[in-house]
Amino acid sequence: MRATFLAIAGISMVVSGCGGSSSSSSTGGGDDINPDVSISIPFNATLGNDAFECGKEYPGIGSNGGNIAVAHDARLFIHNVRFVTNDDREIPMVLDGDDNGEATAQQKPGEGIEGIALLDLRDKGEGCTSDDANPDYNDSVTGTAAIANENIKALRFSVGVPAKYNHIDAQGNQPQLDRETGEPIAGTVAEGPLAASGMGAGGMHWSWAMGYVHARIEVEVPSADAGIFYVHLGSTECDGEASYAERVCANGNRPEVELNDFNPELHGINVNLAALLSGNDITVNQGGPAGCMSGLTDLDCIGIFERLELPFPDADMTGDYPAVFSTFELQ
Amino acid sequence: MNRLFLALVLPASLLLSGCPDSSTGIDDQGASVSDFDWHMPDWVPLPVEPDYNPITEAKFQLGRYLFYDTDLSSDGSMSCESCHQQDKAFTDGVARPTGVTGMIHPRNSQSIANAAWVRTLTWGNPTLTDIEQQIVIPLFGIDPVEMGVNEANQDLVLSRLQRKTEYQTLFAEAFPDQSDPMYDEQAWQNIIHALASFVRGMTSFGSNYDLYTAGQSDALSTSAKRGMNLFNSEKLECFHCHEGYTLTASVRDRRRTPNIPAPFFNTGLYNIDGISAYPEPNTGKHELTGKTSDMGLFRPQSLRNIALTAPYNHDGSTATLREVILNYAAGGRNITSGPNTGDGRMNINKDPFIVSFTITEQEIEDVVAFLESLTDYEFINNPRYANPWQPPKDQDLTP
Amino acid sequence: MIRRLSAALFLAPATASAHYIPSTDVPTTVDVGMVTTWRSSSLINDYQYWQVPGTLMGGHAWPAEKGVEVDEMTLSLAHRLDQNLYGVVEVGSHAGDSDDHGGVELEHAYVGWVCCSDYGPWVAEVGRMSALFSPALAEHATQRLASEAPLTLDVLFGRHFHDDGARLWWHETGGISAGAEIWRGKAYPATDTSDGGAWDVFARYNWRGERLSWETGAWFYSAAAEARADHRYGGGHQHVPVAPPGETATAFSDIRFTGDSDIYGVHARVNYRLSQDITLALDGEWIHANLDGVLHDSIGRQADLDGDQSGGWIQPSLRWRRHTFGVRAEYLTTDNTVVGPAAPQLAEESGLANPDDHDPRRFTVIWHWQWRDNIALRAEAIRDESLTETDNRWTLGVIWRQRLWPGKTKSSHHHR
Repeated sequence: MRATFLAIAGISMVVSGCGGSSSSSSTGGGDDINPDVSISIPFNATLGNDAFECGKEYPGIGSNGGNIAVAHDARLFIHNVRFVTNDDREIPMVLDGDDNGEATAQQKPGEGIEGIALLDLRDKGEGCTSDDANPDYNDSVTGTAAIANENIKALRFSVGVPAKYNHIDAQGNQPQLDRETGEPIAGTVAEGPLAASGMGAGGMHWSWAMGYVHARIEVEVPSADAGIFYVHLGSTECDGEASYAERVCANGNRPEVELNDFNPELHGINVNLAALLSGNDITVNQGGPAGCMSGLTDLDCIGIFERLELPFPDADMTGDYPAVFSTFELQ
Repeated sequence: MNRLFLALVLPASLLLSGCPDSSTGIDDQGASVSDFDWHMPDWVPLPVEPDYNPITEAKFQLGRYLFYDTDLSSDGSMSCESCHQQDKAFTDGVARPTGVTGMIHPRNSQSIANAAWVRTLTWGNPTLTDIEQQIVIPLFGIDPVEMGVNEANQDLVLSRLQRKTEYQTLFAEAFPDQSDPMYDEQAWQNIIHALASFVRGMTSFGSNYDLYTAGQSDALSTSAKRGMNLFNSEKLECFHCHEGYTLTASVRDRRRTPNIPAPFFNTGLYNIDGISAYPEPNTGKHELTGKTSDMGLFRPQSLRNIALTAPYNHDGSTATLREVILNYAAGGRNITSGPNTGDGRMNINKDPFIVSFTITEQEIEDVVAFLESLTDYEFINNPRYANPWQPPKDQDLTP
Repeated sequence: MIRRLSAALFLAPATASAHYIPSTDVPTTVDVGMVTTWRSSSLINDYQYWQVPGTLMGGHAWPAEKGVEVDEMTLSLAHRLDQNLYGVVEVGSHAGDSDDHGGVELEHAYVGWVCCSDYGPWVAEVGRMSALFSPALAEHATQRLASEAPLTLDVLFGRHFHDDGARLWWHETGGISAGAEIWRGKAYPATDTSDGGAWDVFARYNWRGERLSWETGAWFYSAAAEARADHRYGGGHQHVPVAPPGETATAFSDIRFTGDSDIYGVHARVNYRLSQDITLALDGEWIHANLDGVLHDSIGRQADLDGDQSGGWIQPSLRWRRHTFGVRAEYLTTDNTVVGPAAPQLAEESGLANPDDHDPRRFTVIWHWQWRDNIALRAEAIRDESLTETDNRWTLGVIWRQRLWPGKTKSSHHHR
């Protein structure tokens, strides 16, 4: 597919690297041949074909014919958004900040692991509880990429908070320190969506495990004792002191998503909760907390991790599972 | 004789006239200076404070009001005090506490006396080092739910606090640099910082044992003295993990730059199915690291005020100090029935210091007497740490 | 003949302690030495630790104790294998705080190679040896005029220096000795850890005339230590000592040092034979140490140490026939800076603290009587100001020093 964005580029070209010199920066930013274009990638959450609506009941969710589930939470971090060309080059999407290039509550500007967005697909108030508008609602990732004259065949991104930032102080109180010198490590004060998650009941941070919740998907299950089936995705088997940036996790648990034939002019990205839950009987808790909080002994996680293509004990990585992430046609 | 000596030796000293003078300059870089009155003896090294939340009396006092305020929970039914009661050295007397939604916490409530001095703050988490980080767990945690504050109700909870007149001045005094510390986006952070300051400022170094170590020999009974010697003996080995002025190896203060990992030990309480497992989710350090070698490793507790904090162990599964001592004497705990059946004495991760020993009933009594001498009655009666919403109790807990 | 021979023997306390290399003439020798001394008082009480204010101590620097004690016993065997090769083995015991520390240990076990004639001048030695850089450090108690080792060597080198290593030197030829030594680091103030160890270089010149003879030299020694303990009292599993009722005992604070000790010194020794019966001598050494490193302990306390310590002694003496009368005046000055959050505590517990700005001093008045050829008697009056509380003590001692094999013959090799 030939992606032609010259018209768009003409309007919204970002001037970096466009001064007419022979600059050919390979780290993005665009040049004469491939100017930057502004891109906004919309996301939506569904349960099957039905849009995620806080408090709405959806029948047939889960395995064995399914049960009634009530939409409760749908949030995820993504980072490292990049386009793949027909000749298999990756072109990064540089996420936007505010007018001053600073982080917003939804996006930390940058590319690769520096560009982090928090998607909050809950359509009602915080906690999905009222009819008030959710102030944190965010259903798109915005930025630029030097793809004006490229043949794009796919979009790739990672779900979650990159390891570099996963164990910073989410309350934004203090940077991580270098153990040798005692000096602060640059960039490790939480900002943007990383700070917002640590303030009050931000909900996207595991305070006890010193790491972020990469994705938080929840449905209420009226017929189950536990009441809520949680999917809290986070890194596990971690060791080392977070305050010295020494914390390392054996299991990052950051799903890698690749969507073929993605055209940013035509497509958005769908997160299908029904697909994610399709391997679990959501009325049954097989151990640990209700649902899956990423614990390695929690049998509820097997089906979830299989569908996210993440390794997990006893998970069958070869199965043919319904896609959690897919593209949808823009209207 | 002395004259002869001096006559012999003093002339020799003439050989050394004019040598330079000695000195040792000592600079502790301000480690012993604090503007805050910690209400503790001056031999105790000052605790580590995070740069972002230096303790002040105003924050301590605000934290004290918040600590005892049930409006800080989602349904107004619980405060921090619900699980941390002063007369029990800030524990709750139950094996495992219940949160606002009825969820039972998997672990036993800990004493928070001297929390500023522990290396890591909770039973099995090797990475939680700041009280500010810990406090968000009972407030906002969902597994388990304790105070039950969440995104949906946090504004409501905050508005309940905002309505109280006491807080208007308390917040303003605690955060004088902020124009609106109770209402702007920093409100929750301010609550956390104030609670952390109150907890950090709870100091307990006034037990009979402290009087004894300060030189008051009759502060301990003869039985307690015998118990102290047993405690410090190579027979019982207690002192290896419960050492120093905090009576735990998990300690940090301004003088220390910890150069070894925070201590966590397996004391052989469980060995489910003979594979050294501890019952989920109380697998200790393993819960975070996932390493089998960390299965069943928990932080050594401070033994200060230990006589007031029954039941014992991370899950409250040991009722009395006597039973704790008997578990150690057996070199672990052998559970012969029920879901946790297994011989903890054979747990592969058991610390090498947990070796069995023979002990008489008299010796057990002596060790218990020593442990009781670690109770700080001044601390549990100190109005400074008491509920500010109520008039002071006329209750004397001193035996 | 006997008179001349005796003179050669009891000259030993006042002359250079030559490093012994067995000669081809007398290929096998066995020597014994023993010093037993009675002292009128102990420098410190039982259940206390000897720690000179302003210093770090260690090694085998045990305090003087009341009563009779075997200060030292040595038995050494030397054998010349051929024109170039020889071996030396020596076992010894030292007075110590307890039986654990006072046991017999292997002090020397080394092989030497003389090149390029059977007299040198090049000598290479490898094995366990005493260091040669400071003559006083290699000196045995049987050879020393005073019964107690110099205070500065006690503090800076832990009294005895026996270590595994190698030495290459130009040996006493043309009056000059000079060489270099490298050490594994078992001897205080180094450690034998992977980044520990020590080395030194030394040079000295000695001149002998009809009446006047003298020797002077200089040296530099550098040690690296990692988590070095004061092995007199600490370094292993710590116990609270058990004291009898009425006494209090506290556990030794096991403070460690990691860092460098750079130490240099100059020494001189002059003998003047006034007459057939009277010889005057003057001895002295001045030593300066720079300590640069970190004090730390098992509970994570740390402080940086920068220390400059100087010490030495001067010892005039007069020998009349078989009697030697001497005075030894010793001093030590310390100038330390300890910086870090735990500096006050670590300084106090390590012994570096010196709140009274105390200058350690010690004065020893000695009468040494070579009663028989191999047995000497010694009496001393010592004013010991190494601690802030002065200790005055008397000593009476007996010294046995003898070549057991091959019986009466020349005492040592000669150089041209």
